[in-house]
Amino acid sequence: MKLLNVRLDGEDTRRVSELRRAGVAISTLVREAIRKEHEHRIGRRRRRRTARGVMTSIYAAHPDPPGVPRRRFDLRDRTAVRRAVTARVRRRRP
Amino acid sequence: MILLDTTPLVALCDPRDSLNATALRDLDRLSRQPLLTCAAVLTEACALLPHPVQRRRLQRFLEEFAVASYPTGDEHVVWREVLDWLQRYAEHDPDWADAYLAVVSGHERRLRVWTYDREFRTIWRRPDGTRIPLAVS
Repeated sequence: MKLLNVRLDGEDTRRVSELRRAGVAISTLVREAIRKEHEHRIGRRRRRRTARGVMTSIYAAHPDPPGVPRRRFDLRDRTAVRRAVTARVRRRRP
Repeated sequence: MILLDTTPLVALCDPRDSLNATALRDLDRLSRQPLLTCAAVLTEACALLPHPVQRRRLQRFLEEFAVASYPTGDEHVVWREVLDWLQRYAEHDPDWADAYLAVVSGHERRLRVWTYDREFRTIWRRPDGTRIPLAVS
């Protein structure tokens, strides 16, 4: 097995001491954190359906309710985009 | 690594947008690479996706594709560079997000910017004057 060294500042050193006193095995904690992050960033990516399939499921789960207005300008039109962003920033809240 | 601009992000989160089909096709090709974006782009995207359901789709997209925040390191240094870049291109009236993407493209040479804005092809350059590598033609 490989050995992994991690530098800790004072605060984290204190936390580790308190966790050890509470009976937590730090090595187990680190392994679990690595597995969880790997699953989140890499594992799901590997098992992923096509990107289009993922987006289709997002659209199905979160459809537009009636009354959501359609954008009336091309997103490549910088002037129109800026106008929309500015209007949003300047909007008056009730 | 792919750095997402506002246009593809908004197009992906709005299935009724005229760029949606293009963005989906590009996503199929690009999503195998790490996707990154920045706060400036998300700010613009939320202004263009004002409805809660649109923002929920944005959130799901960021989660499903593990879109990460671009790690700038010292943000103050980047702000200064972005403001310098905005000065340099002032006659073309750029926005903060344009400048931010151009500047970080100069920091990280492996980045390719995914945008549908013409200016990234025609006008904007990295701070050193070189072209900004793009993810879509």
